[in-house]
Order: sequence, then structure tokens, then C-alpha cells
Amino acid sequence: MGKKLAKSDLLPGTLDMLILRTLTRGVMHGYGIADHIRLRSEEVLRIEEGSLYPALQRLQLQGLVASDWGHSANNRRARYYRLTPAGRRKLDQAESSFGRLIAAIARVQQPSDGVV
Amino acid sequence: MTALRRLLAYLRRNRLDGELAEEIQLHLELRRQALIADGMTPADADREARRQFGNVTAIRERTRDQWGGSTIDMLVQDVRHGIRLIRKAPGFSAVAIASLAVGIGASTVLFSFANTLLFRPLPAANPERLVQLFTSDASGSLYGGSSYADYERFSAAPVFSGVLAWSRTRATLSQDERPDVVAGLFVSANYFDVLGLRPSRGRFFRADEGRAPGRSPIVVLSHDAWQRRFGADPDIAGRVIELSGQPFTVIGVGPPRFMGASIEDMADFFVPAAMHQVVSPGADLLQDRRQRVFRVLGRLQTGVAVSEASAALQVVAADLLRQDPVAWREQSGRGRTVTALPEVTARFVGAGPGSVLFILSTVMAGVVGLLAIACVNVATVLLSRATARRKEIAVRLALGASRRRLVRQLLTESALLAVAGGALGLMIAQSAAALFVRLRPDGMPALDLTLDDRILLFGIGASLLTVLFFGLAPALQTTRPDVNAELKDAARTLKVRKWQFNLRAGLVVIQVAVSFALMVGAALMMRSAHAGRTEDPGFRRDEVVSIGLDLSTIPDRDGAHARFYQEAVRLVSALPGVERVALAALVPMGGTNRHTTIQIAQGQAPVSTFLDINVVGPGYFTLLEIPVRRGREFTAADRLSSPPVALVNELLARQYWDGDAVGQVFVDERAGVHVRIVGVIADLRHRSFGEDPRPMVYFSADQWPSSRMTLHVRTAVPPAVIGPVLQRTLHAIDRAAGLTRPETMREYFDRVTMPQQLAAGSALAIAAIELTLAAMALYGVIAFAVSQRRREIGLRMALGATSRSVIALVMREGLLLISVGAVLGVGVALVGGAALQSVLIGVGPADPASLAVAALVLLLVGATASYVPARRASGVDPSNALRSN
Repeated sequence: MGKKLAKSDLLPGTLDMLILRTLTRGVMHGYGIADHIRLRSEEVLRIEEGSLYPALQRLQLQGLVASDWGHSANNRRARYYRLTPAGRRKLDQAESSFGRLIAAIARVQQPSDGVV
Repeated sequence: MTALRRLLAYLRRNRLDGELAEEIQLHLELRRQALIADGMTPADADREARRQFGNVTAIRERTRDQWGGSTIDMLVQDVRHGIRLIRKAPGFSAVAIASLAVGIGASTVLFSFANTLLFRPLPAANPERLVQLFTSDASGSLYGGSSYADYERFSAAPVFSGVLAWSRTRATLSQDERPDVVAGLFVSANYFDVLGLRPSRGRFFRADEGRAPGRSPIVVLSHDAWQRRFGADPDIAGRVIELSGQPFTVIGVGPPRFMGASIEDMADFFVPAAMHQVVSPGADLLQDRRQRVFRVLGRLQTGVAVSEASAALQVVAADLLRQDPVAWREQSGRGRTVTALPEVTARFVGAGPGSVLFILSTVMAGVVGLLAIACVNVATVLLSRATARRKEIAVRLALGASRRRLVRQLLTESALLAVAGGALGLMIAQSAAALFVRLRPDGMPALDLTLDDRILLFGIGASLLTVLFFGLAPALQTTRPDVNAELKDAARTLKVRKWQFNLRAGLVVIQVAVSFALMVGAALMMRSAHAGRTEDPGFRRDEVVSIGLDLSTIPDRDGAHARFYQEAVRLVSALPGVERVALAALVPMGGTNRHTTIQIAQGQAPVSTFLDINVVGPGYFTLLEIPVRRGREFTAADRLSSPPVALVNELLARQYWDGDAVGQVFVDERAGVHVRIVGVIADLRHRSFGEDPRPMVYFSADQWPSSRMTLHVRTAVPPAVIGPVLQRTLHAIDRAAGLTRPETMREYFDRVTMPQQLAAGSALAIAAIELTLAAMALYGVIAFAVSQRRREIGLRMALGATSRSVIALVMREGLLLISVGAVLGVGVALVGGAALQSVLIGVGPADPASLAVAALVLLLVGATASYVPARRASGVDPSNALRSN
């Protein structure tokens, strides 16, 4: 079982980035987003609902995602989220800075030659 | 953009909330199904799903917080919070709101006067195209009037699309046998047309109606006159009214709120200039070039600038000089100049003391002063409040409130106070203005004091400024992030404390000084009002009825005025119930004065002296029971043809003739005649209550007739009965004579002293308010000082000081502040008192009784205000105080 992740466990902005990335795969409702992250991370990342919905609201207010109401697989009313062009741009930004961060950390962690 | 979305979300929050609930439900449902698919029982799955989800309510709240951070939401919260706080401290809030209301209300009323008189544009079409034309007068001063012939030359100038002229006049309007003197204008026939006005009834003059002098006289009434005097009669057009004894046909009524093109010449009626001699026989104003009594207003053609008009007028002036070199020259020999000023600027011309502009400047100064005092009051209140809440604010800061948010909240509170104060103030202003318009004394034309945008703006601006200024300072100060120190009450920040204390103390001292001065003023005014009512004025007030006669509308040909007076006295004396009748030019304390200079032979060189006079008829002193000390009063024998005689009062007699003035002679310099004194009269206050009697000379009315006199009647008949009889009798002598409303001497007295009573009442009210404010300020400061010195006090008490000595210690500080304030206040009071001198009766400005009373009251109030926190201080538990560091 993976660790249940609260927003504070992730580096700031990571949650948003995960959500945005998930939405590149298509339109999804809240449960679907959480499920997708869980599965893709192979159970490592499990988003706490307490963080998910506020995050989705925030992203909506920032204009990075948009939502519409539709019907789920078993004909229940559900709200579907999709990525907006602004969201896509933000995602690229976030991913590149995240990538730089990870690379930097990795460099620090590398045992360097010649130093014990 | 985000902020906008936030705002929208906030507005739709209820719906969004519902949607979120639905969304969460779905999420739970899907989770449940997944768990069931994994093999759980439905019940277990349900529970597990909920458990995994977390606290639904909390999550919903956190989500809602996203859109809850909008500005409007915060504003609404702040306002609600502010209202709650205001209600929790009703005393403080009431005081602050009251001060703002009074300050803003009073200054708004004053400002609306100024606005109406100075700034409001003429109620004419395109008033900015109007310019006023002046002709320089003989002495060379630029802004004089023009003659009618000049006006006709000006109108010919092509720079103007139309030029009008007017001249002031008065007439007696006889209505239902009640004659009244009214103000009016002689106007050029195009007067209303050039101004672009439409009649509210009937029509205005036609061009030809200005030409034929004297034939079938017509008149246009002002809207106000039509409403006030003719009851807004719908059939007024065509009605015939009587002006100065002549019939005039009313052809129309002017537009509402129009009283003439200039505030200096407000009018109830308008007559074509050609018909002026019907109203006011005498000089021919149209033909006589020396009569420069017309004021001229021109409307510029579109596209013409004032400078062009000026240039054109110079050409006209040069022409006039060539044409009429005698009349068109100034004393210096130069030709006269014609000046054109835009109408708005022209209002300010000729502004000396007593002129409208001067009065208004003083009024504006008063406005600023009032607002300043109100602001100081509000500032003290806000500061005290801020002090009292220091701890609360510190705790909130410590708990994580953002400083910005707190400042915003404090500002909102102040803003609420300002809005409340401003709204109340505007209401006060509105009712005061309405009251004034309703109570306006007869003869004074209506001023349109309705609140307009400018005034509203002024009021709102004033309150906002006050708030920003005085709410911001404490807000910033108390939210300084020195949270620790606040919570600990440490003496670390002693220096900062000192400064804070001094600021508050300074404000308190100012307030104490002001309230002391106000109290002294109020005491003076109250004593004055009392004296006014009870002091003996020196003449009889009971059973005397007076009526004013104005013969200025009757030409004085062949002694017509003297004949009128003789008839008047004869007829009225014959009325049943009338005991005595006498004429006088002036009524004591009436406010108007007449003077002359007389020359008295004293030893080698004659002495000239300038003094007050009155002109009275036979029997005057007996009627009013003013004692004749020596000699006699005037009799019927002192006629125009007899040698000139006079009476003097005791003061003058003592000054030059050792009291024995009968038989002495002086020269009246103005008339150049020798006058013999035949009697000495008791002194009385002639000018106003506040002044001591002055040397006076009385001349005989038969020998010095004037166009305006008052007829005094001594009668036991009730005034309500005798009044109309008097009016009818006098009106029958000559219908053109103006008569004022008959008044008993008592009524006259009350009328003359009424301003005093009003002033005393208002002064008392204002002083009381200010004293309350000062007391609260004092309380605040002492409380503040005590809170700072808790440790010291605790220490003292632990070391054995009694509670009494602690109280004494604290009160000493309070009394110190009061004393300093009182000393300052005495200075202010003396200065203010000197200004009030002329209206004070029976008391001087440095009246020790008033000063003493004021000081006593101040001491009492101040002592109480310091005692309360002092008492609290002494109740401090020493161990607590010492421990609470």
C-alpha cells in the first residue's frame, strides 16, 4: 500500500502538476483523476481527497482547468474536468522547473569521484 | 482574472456548494463500488469509503475557502464585524458619530450658503456666455454702473447676440390693504430673452413694450413673489395689482428660483425700464445720462471670446468720448473705461467688508474651523478606542491574522463611523436649510439651499478625509508587529510609549482648552440672554404698538411728507382707545444708526464731536416714559419755520455743560445751522444692549423730516384689534406709502433679543457636547497611562502605598492635564469674548463669574473622568501586577 499523500507531503505545486498532467490524457471526473494517479504511480501516490477538491477549485479559479457536467459510466451526473490552453502552458512550465529541481537534487546526491 | 473568477464564484457560492456536494457524493459512490468489487460487504465498503475520503464537511469547507477569499466576501465580513464592534461600544461610537455629524452638518449648511451665493451658475441658458459690463465711475474705479444711453450703445456692438440692463428699485405693493415694501428691477424689454428664460405663467415683455414710456404699465412677478404673496394664483396673468399706488397688469411670472441676474439685486417684480416713472417718479432714468444706475449683462455671440468683446467695447468707449465729452469723463479728465468680465468673475467684484464676498469668506473660515474641531474630537475617540483594543489586536496578530487584513478591518470600522456620521450630518444640514428657508425673515429673498451634488460631494469628501486621516494612524500604530511587547506589557518600548502618551495628552489638552472656552462663551451668552430679558431698557414696553412708515415711494413735493406725518398723527390720535401718539426716526436698539457732527463752543476754540442722533416728534418721551431731566421735550410749536431746537441726553450735557445744557447752543455741521438746546433727557441704550449709553442729540421731527419713521401708539386696546385699524387709517392717507406690520414694543423687544436667546441655547448645547468629548478623551488618556504603569503601581502597593495614595497619584496626572488645558482655554476664551463684545448684554468678556463657573464645571468633570481609572488602578492586586510582565 502506498502512502496517503497530503498536499504538505509533496513539494509545493506538485499536486497541481500531477492533476494537470493527468488531464492531458482526456476529460476526467475527480474520482477518475485520483484513481489515475494512484494507478500510474503504482500505488505510491494516493491523493487525499481533502487536497484534491480544493486543488481542483484552485485550478479552476486560476483558469487552468475548466469543468462541465456530464454523465458517468453508470449514468450518474458527474463533473468532468478538462485542461485549458492556459493549463497546458502552465503544465509545461511546471514540468520543466520540476525537472530542473529533480536533476539538481540528483546531482547533489551523486557520490562524487575522489571524495569519500 | 483570477480575482474576477473568485468574485463570480463567491456570488454563485450556494449553487457551487450544491454542485460540490453532488460531486463528492459521486466520488464516494465510485469508491464504494470499487471496494465492493474488491470483495467488501456493502456496509463495510460504505464505511471504508467514507473513512478514506476524510471529513466531508471539512473538505467542503476547504474547497469553499478557495472562492471565499474574494474581496467582497472579506468586505462583507469586515462590515459585519465593524457593526458588531460599534454596537459593543455604544458610548464611543455615539460620540464619534455625533461629532462627525455636527461638524459635517454645520459645515455643509454653511457651504451650501456659499455655494448658492458664489458658485452656483445663473439659472439662465448657457450662463458661461454671459459677461457683465461695467463703466468706470467718476473717481476712476472700474466697476461702476452705466446709463441707459450707454447701454443702448453697448447693445449695438455686434460681438453680442443680446445685451440686457437692469436697475434696482423699491415699490409699495398694496394687497388686501396690507401695504408692503418690495424690491424690484427696471429691466430692458429683452431681459428675459437674453437670459434664455421661459415664463412659468403668462409671458414676458415684447420688444415694443419697452419703448412707450408710462402707458398701460405691465409687470412680471418673480416665481417666489407669486407663490408667497399671491398664493400661486393660477389666474395671475391679467390680474391688476397696485404698485406704489398705481395699477399694474401682471403679464407673467418668472421661472422658479430666479430672483434676478445678480445676487446683489434680488427682486420680487420686474417692470420695463420705459415705465419706471410710474413706479418711482423723479429722475428720468432713460434720458438722463448722469443716471448711471443700470447694470448691464451681455451674451457673447458663439465663438467670440471675452477679449474680443473687450476690444470692441474700447471702440465704443472712444466713440462715446467723442460724442459726449462732458458726461463721459472721469474726474481725472480721462475718458471712462468699459470693462467686460465673465458673469461668474463679476460676482466677486467690489468686495469690501460687509460685501457678500467678505461675509462668505468668514463663513468659509468658520466651516474649516468646525470641521477641524470635529476631526480632533473623532481623532481622540478613535485613539482611545485603539488603545483599549491593543491586547485584542496583539492576540489576533499572534494567532496569525495578516496585518493587512487587520488594518483593513480597522479602517472599515472607521469608515462605518464616517458614513454614519456623514449621513447624519447631511440630514442635519438638510433640515437646517429647510428650516432656514421657512423661517426666513420678511424681505429677504429666497435662497435656494437645496442640497446639490457639489454639497453632497463636499460632505462625503469631508467624512472620508476625516476617516482616512484619523482612522489610519491608530490602525497602523496598533498593528505594528511588536506583538511580543504588547502581550508582555514590557517597559522595553518605553520611548515609544512616551511619544504615544504625549500625542494623546496633547489632544486632550486641546480639547480641554476648547471646551473651557466654549463653556465660558456659553455662560456669557446665557447671562447676556437673561439680562436682555430682564434688564430695564429705559423705556416703556407695555401697551405700546409701533408701525413703520416708508414714504420713499412718494415724491416729497411741497412738503408732502410732512403733511403725511401730520395727518397720520392727527388721525391716529383721534382713534378710540389711543392715548398718545408720537413719531420717531429710530427705535432704540433697532440696529440702524444715524449720526451727525456738532460743534460746541468751548472756551477759545470750538470742539467738534461726532455722535448718534434720533429724530423724534412731540410727545415721544412722555409716551415711552423716558424721563425728561431738565427743560422740556418737543411740542407742536417746534415747527419747520421755528428756530431749530434739540434735546440732549444727560451724558452729553454733563460732558460739555456740566449737566445744565438748557439754553446752550451748538452748530450742526451737516446742516450748517445753530441749534438751541431746550431739554435734557435721561440716558438710555440706543444702539444695542451690549453697549453703554452714548452721548446723543435728539432733533425735532417737524424740523427734520425723513422719508422713514416709526409711529408709536400708546393704547390699552389689544394689538390684534388696533393693528388693522392703524393700517387702514394710514393706508387711506396715501396708498403709495409703505407700512410695516404693526408690532408691540414687547414683540419688538423679543425679536431684537431673539438672536441672543438662540445663540445662548446653541452655545450651551455645543459646550456640553464638547465637554463630554473632552471628558471621554481625558478618561482615555488616564486609562492609557494607568495601563502602562501597572507594574509601578503594583510595586508601590506592594511596598505599602495605600489605595488612596495611588488614586491621588493618578488623579494628579489628570488634574495636571486639566490645568494646562484650562490655562490655554482662558486665553482662547478672552479672545473669543472680545469678539463677542458687541452682542453681550450686562457682562463683559472677562466676566469673573462665568470664568469661575466654567472652571468649576471643568474641574468637577475632569476629576470624575480621572477618578474612574484611578480607582481601577488602586484596585490592582499588587501580586498580579508584578507578575504580569
